[in-house]
Amino acid sequence: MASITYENVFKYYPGAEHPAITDLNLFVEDKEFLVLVGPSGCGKSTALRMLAGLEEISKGTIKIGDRVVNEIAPKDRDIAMVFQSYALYPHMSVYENMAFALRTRGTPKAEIDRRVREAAQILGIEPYLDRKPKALSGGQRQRVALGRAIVREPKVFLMDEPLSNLDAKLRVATRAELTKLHQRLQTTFVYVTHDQVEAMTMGTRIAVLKDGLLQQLDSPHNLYSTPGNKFVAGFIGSPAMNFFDARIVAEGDALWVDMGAFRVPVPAEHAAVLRQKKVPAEVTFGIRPEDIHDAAYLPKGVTPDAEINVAVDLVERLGAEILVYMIAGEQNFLARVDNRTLVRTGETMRAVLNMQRMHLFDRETEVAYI
Amino acid sequence: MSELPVRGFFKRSRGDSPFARILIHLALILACVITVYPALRVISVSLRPGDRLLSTDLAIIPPDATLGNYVAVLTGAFPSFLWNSLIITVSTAVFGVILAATSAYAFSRWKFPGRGPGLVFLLATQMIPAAMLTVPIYILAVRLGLFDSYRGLVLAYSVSSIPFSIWILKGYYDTIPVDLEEAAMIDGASRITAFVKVILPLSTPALAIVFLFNFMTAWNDYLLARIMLQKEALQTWTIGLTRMQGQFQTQWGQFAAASVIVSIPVMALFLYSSKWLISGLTLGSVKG
Amino acid sequence: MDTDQANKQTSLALILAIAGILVAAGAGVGVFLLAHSAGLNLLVLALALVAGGLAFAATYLAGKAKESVLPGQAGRQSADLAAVLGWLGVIAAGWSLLYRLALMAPDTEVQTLLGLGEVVQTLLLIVAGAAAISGLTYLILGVIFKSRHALPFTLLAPAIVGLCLLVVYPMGYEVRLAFSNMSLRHFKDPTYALAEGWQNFKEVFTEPVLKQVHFFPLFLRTVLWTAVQVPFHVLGGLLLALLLNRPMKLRGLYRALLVIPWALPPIVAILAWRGEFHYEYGFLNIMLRGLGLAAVQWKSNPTANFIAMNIVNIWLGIPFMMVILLGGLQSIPGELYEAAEIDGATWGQQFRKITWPLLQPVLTPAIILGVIWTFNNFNVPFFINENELESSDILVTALFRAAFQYNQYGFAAAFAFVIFFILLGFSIFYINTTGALRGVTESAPATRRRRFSLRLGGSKGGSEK
Repeated sequence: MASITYENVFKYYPGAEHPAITDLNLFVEDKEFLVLVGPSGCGKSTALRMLAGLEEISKGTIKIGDRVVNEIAPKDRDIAMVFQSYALYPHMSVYENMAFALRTRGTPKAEIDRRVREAAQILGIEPYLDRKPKALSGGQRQRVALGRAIVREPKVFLMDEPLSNLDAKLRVATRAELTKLHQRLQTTFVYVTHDQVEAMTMGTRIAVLKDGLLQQLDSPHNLYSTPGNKFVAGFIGSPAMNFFDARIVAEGDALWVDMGAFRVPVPAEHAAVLRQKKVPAEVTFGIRPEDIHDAAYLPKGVTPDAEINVAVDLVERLGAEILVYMIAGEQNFLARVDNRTLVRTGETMRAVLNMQRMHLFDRETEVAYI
Repeated sequence: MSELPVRGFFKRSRGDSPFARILIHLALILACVITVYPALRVISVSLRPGDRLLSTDLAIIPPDATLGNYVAVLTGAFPSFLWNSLIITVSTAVFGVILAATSAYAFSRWKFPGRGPGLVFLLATQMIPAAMLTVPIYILAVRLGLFDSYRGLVLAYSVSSIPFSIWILKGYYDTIPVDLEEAAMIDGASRITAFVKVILPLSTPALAIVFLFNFMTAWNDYLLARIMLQKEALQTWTIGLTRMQGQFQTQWGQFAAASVIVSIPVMALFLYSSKWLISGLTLGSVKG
Repeated sequence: MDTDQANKQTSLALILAIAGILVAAGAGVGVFLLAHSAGLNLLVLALALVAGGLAFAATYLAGKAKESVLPGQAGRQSADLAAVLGWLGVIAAGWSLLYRLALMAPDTEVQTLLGLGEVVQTLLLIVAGAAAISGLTYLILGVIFKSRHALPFTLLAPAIVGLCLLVVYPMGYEVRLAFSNMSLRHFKDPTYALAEGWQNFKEVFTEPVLKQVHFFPLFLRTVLWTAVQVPFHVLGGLLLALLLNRPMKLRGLYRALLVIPWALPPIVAILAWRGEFHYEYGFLNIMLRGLGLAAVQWKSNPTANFIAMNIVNIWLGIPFMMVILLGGLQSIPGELYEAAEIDGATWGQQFRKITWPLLQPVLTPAIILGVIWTFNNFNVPFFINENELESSDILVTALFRAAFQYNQYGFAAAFAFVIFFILLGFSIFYINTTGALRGVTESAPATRRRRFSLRLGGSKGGSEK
């Protein structure tokens, strides 16, 4: 069983004002692909390194399977790690890099050879087995780093931003390969990244961290459609969600979201929830760019209730989609519209908000109501 | 690491002008002449027959050059001096490197109480005037029975290069990212294994330089050898050579020949290690 | 290769290793106890060889066993044990062989081999001592106190002990000497007293240090010596480094030649130069006469002698600076110069704004070392000064003479401390004003952010990503 449990884990650095990690509770299922994601300094790498045994755990316990590993040295935790810098041994060939761990453990030569060649074949690096790392490209080095981890046949794979040193195209290709690798190896993966695209595409579940605190642990779909707070809502999804300071205004039975320059109606089912939760008047309203449409090209299922008039500030044509930077009153926001749109910079446009997918957050706590 | 930056300092985008190039070569040739001339003079004296240091001839290779002096030196008492120096130097150099390699690693990778003061102390040891410790060491050696034997000398040489060696090795280790040791530890290596199998192979330039310096320090030492060794059979070449330029009659030819002979090992080692000289001596700068 | 075979190999290796050690022990005993006759000598030698063979076979077998499947930790440890024992046996056998050979050698060669034997013996003792010290440190710190600093101190322990022996203890002794009146007269029974110390220190400043020269002239001369030398070293080294820092055909040859003053044994270089200062036959005077100028009395004229010392030390000191500065120049990225060229900077501006500032991290430690080494330079002033002119002495040579030629041990000790504190004061001042060592006591950038935080290794520290 290679599940992973963080129980009330804290990490303090001497001299720092705040803990690097505060009360982290996390359960990773066996064979899961868990992504730790968050902005720089959020503690995701620290959490990973505590799991690896490269950082001390100030408080709390970490378990691999049923075993508490707080006091166990990294080499005895049966884990393998891929570093952001790959950390390949420069003076050893690819073969020796991959064989190093097995040699240190006294694995018989025949077995070493079998495992190294098998891993090399999976990763397509067989032709490079005799080369030294400096003779390889970035993508090839990354595979060697992966290969070094695979031959260990560990209980858990740890990855610390392994794709960040690759160029964009390679990153996309490698993402898919990593996902396939995960399915093939049927082993738990714990993956750290700051890139939410990587998180969304690869993870079975994602843990969003900020300032050492776990914001939300959920599947990619749930994080996208029901973010728990404003940070997660703004972090997940690209381009990021639009946020407005707004007021909830009641007009008879209906509720409206008033943003000063314009207002939009709240759909009935959401209104019921808001009333039930006794939402205060001052809120933050959030709507994703992909949920703002050109009124002329509404997708099926979107009602034109929430229509507003906007001025178009800038239009970016990306081929498959069009990004429109729009202004309404004092508010700037972004919409991703159908690529048949004819709007141009400087014109006005009728935009429709898909209020089924609206989000509302508390102004102070930033917790999500909807 | 590439040997030079893509654009050097004087270079224009299309390279130095031919005029500048000639000037530079002339300047360098002049510098080389000044540098090498005294050494050449020694060689020339060593090739003169008999006693003829005393001549006003400035030619490098005298017309009646002969290897007689070399023969005389090598068949006399001198080879035993050479042998003594050799065994002491090689053994202390090897041991000194090992000692410095491990100690510098501790300084580079750990923060322990006394680390800062320790580094400052190492620097301070360089400030000790040479003759300052010789008196206590002399008295200590006499009292401990280390006098007039190799034991004290080997001990002294092994330890005396430690501060400088630690500085150089620490500086070099600092340029090796910690990632490599972390990866090794996750791979199952203990700290020591990671040190031996990963860090040491990557530090060969610095290790070579430290070996070179240790070798040079022990090989060239005069002061310690002079106060510690009295029996002539035990003495090293530094004492032997200085005595040759002796009180009464100096055999200048043989003296010069001996000078040439003792220079060869250390110069050979120096030239052999020179390719590492620049990369190994980081002295705190970023590795180029 | 299967478990059974591996097991058999390990067992065999262990047996061989133990046998080897026993036989080597026998040979070792035989080295000292057996009489010198042809037969007994052969016996000892044969024992040593057999022991060596057995032990070596043991290590070989152990290695082979480890390559195949071994039953878990126990099996592997046995193989390791066999290998270690084997190597011990080899060393013991080798030593017995060498030592007996030395004792057997005819008289003329005895000293040679005995010298080798003694050196090897000393080394083995030192290695064993160092290992013992490290082991003890680890035992105390790691096992008993379970300190997190056990491992670094284990690595440092032998060096610490060595430095204590060679530096700390003698320094302490020197302090004691400074407060005594030890000299040739009072060698066996010197008086150690505060008053003596006070007397010594007073004498340093008031009485002539040697026959005539007093402290302050000596001090000033040493300062002059250093102040003249170091700039020349730096300028010369910088000039050569700048010239060499470009791709050129004979670069390797130039570098090899220019480094010769550093590569030559100082004694050889200095004695060679001393010869060149000879009034009649030294090339300096020959050239001067050739140019129609008067020859100089380099050896007897105080001023000329001082100049001679300076010439020699400049010649000796430039290569070191050149190499350091070359390294520093190469670490400056070329793009900076390209950007400056585009911005229209002349090379003078480029030098002042790019090269010079970026050389400082390399230059400052080099200058500190250069000042210290020059100030303390013994060989050059001592040997160039053939006629032992007191006017050519600097502080350290005067110290040497006071100690070993005039045998004023107590006085010399006090003198030594004065010199030491002068240098210490200067270094502290220099380091503080230039902040030179700021980067040194920190860790490397790579380790600054993440220190090893393992239990038996490090400390917490730094920020995280």
